[in-house]
Amino acid sequence: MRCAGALRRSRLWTLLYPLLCSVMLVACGGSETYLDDEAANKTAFDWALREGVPLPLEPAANPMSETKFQLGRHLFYDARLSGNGTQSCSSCHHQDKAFTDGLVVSVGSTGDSHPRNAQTLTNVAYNATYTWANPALITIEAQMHTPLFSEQPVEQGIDDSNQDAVLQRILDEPRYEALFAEAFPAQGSPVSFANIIDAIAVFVRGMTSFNAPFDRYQLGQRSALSASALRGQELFFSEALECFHCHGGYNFSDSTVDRTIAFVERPFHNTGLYNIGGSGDFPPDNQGVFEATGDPSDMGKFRAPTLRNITLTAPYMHDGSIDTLEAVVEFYAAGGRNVESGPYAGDGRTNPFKDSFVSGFAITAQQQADLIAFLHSLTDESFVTSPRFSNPWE
Amino acid sequence: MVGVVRKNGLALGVTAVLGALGLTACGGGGGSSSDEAPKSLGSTPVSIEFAAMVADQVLACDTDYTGVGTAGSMVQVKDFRMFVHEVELLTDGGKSVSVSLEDSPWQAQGVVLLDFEDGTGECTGTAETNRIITGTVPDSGDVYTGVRFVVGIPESLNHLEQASVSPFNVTGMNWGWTNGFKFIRFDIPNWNVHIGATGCVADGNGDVQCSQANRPQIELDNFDFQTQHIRIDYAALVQDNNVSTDTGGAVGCMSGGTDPECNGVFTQLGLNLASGDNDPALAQTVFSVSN
Amino acid sequence: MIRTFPLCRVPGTLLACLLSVNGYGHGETPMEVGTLVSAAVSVTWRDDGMLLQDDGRWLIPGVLMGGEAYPVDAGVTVDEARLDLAHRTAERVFGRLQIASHDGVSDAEIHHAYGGLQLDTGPVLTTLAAGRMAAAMTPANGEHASDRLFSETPLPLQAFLGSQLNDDGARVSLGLGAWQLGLEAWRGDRFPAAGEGEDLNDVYLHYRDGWNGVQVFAGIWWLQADAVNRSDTRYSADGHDHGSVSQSTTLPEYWFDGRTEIGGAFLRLDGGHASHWHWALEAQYLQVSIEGSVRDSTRLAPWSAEDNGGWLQASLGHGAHTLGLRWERLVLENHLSGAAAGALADLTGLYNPDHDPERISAVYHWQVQPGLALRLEAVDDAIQTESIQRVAVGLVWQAELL
Repeated sequence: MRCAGALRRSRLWTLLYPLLCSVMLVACGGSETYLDDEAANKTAFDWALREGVPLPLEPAANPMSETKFQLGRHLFYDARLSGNGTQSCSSCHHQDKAFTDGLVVSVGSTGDSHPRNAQTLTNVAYNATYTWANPALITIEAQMHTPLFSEQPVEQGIDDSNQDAVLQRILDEPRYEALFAEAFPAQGSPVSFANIIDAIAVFVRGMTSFNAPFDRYQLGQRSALSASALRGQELFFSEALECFHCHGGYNFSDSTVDRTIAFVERPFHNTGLYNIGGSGDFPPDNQGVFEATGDPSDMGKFRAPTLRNITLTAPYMHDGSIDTLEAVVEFYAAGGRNVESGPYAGDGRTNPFKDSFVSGFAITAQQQADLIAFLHSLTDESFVTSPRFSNPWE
Repeated sequence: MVGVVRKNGLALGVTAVLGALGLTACGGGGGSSSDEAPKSLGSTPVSIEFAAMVADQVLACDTDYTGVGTAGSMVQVKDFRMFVHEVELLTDGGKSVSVSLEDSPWQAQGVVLLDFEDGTGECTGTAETNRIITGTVPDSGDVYTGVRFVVGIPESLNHLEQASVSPFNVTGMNWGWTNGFKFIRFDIPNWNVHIGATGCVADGNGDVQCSQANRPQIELDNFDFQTQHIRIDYAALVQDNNVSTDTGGAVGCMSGGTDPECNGVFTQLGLNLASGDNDPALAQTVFSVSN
Repeated sequence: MIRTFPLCRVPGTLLACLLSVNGYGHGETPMEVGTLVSAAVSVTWRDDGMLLQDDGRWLIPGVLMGGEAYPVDAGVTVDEARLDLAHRTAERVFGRLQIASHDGVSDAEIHHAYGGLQLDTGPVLTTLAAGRMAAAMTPANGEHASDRLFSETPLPLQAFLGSQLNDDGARVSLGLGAWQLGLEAWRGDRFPAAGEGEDLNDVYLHYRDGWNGVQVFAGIWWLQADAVNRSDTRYSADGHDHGSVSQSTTLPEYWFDGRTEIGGAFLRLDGGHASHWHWALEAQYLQVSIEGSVRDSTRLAPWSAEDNGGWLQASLGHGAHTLGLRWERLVLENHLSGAAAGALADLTGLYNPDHDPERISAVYHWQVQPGLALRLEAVDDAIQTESIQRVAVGLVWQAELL
């Protein structure tokens, strides 16, 4: 007799059945858990995720495919995809630096300095928003208009005057004919910016990184983390340091969406980097979400980036203004930064728009070393060496 | 009608009387019932022509214009394009009639791109130009004496991924950071006017909503689309601005709510800079009727 | 009518007292005129505690834990300490105040604070009570380590009632001969309910009589509870302190919204009062139906469960010495759906593909003197998929102070 199967909602059974079952408890076996994801986790793409990490969103208009991924990989590394033929996506996103460029701020194809530090592409499929501070950009496809077409500053510098020439360069490269045909079958002339954007978006969306020592530890390999990293992990997830509030979850960012998420948040935070003149201001070309919304309380708010591969992505912060992880920890320990002189002088620690979790903490030298040991455990060597994400033209 | 006759003689009589009244009343139009309209009405082609000007000179690339703005600057044009939608003709009876836009590379989904630059000289846009809105209105005896349109792309289309639909795929009108488009792009070297919806935020469902619509609604009376055209005057747009300097924010006005250059530009477009709405207290000066 | 009381007042009734420890619980309506102040303490040393999660939480796999379902720990634990004041007048007005700590938690709380009266209404004796009380649908609810033969709280109560259902509410019971019909309505912010003013009600039918020297206590009951924003509050008291660096890892937060319905039945038999030999049998069964959803800050999964659980207990004694066996088991069937089903099943501990949590306990109980008992226990704990064994040595002290 299997009690679970016999149980239905009948009240009569509710009264009679217990007596039967309590007498025959030994026979009432069969705990079970039924999970029905309602096909939410169907995908045709090999995401290379580890157990415990949910699938990212996949835009209905641009589903993942290996052929688009491979086309996107070629385009990502192709300097033909710029107005003057000198710069590709990979110019500012180097694989060995977890797809950042190591510069304080990036430089565009015509020499314009970007106001911001190039961001890692690690797990960007999970971003709730794209770029450092833009609540309107929620797909990689939408984000890509900026590097390709932006005029202020010029990045890849494609505009009305050179776009036909750019497409012609792509058409002239023989390897693309088959790549486009396979990625976008049954299209007469698939070489278009719409398809270029879709393919690169698929490539970038496929850049998943969940093979760090931290992940191996999560999967049960207890030796994956050193004693110092384990102490650092405890510090990281402590209420004293508060790190995890903004850098929590499997992707170490609160700006994370995936297929399991029902209540999407797209958060941004002011960490007290600046407070020009004590009024909360940030430098004029770098004011965060305020630039998008015009809401004064959004001054200096930026998206919390993932901390995965963070050891490879120096310098840090939206403007690359902090050189090392040690200095970043000291910055958060101080609860902000006091800029003592110059045009940006002001005490960021008292920025009126600063996030309440950046309240400062006391930390010993050993604790700081432990915390940084933990951050090192988030570095996925396979991600930065994988041929799958490497330059196909070399 | 046939069914009515068979069933009820009284109904036939009433219908006949109403029909006769309707016939005699016709001519002024406006009262025709919905199931009769498709039978009796064809469509009348409409074309509305625009001319871009700098004061009294026709705007063109590679041309010097003097006396522009508060400093009387000498300028050349770099870009001069804008989107328009919700085009309506106004009758002498106070009625508005929507103009259905024909699909073309310049027109799609009720939106038209007007393009006055040809990529020569300082201009960096496309070689092709477009100064005309083409469409149709239903046949009627209406006398059209005015025009109304909204500058920009409607919110429902502003954030769609339509990278392969012209004119939504025109690179220079892309406004990536708002996940939308520039509605107006009137640029001279080192002084740009980019008007578009701002304060754009994606909600939890992924729908992008902008808090500042920044879509000027323009209404011009005494306009005969068959004989007259609409002037767009750059000199009027920047009449309160010094276009030789920039005192803050983006270079020129890029719709920033705190950009000092935007006050003058928005005022001339009849827009409230803070709310992004049309302000009835402000009279736009940029668009006018010309013979 | 069996009159029960937690304390064993007269040495001559030691035997009955022993059985009542196993029988009728504490905190019932005071039935004797006058005032009584009593106290009880149960202290136990265990060589090992229950198996916990890496983050220190105690979860029964497949159960959405909550309430006051705390594990037992290794070492010396005060299982229970309580002070009880009961009073009844000749006019059948009564009241009870009890302060207790239990389940190894050091903070004492008001466990009972109620008043009431009995009305002789023809053949039916109507009892009205209101205040803070343990729910009376089964005598096992609200029994603590000092009352039970075993020191550990029955597993089905831990799983389905958060150890005990103790809330502010009102009770009407109608007694007719051996039968008693009770209705209880609670404020409804205690597990398995949650949220101010949510439904939490139960109804029971009890039968108590003596058959040929065997005392019979049997009953069936039904409970319904609505929950809004129910979280596992067991560990939150010491959780959110923004102080020193030494704070440990934070715990996952999640919530349940929905309805829980529990049907229960029990049978207790006590025999052998007349001789030095005595015996007792107990069977308790709970069947649980849950319909609702679980969510965390970003995810939601509809969840339903059809669970059941119960225990069988038998004891045999001679004089002051009693040997007992208890066997408890849970069968947990969970259904989660939606994109977050798997993730939330893991997070909440509801994921249990095939394990029936089980525990077998054996006890030797020696009533050394009327106010002091020694108990030795051996437990085979298969609550988790990995089973462990532990032994326990405990003392139960009970005294009438006034």
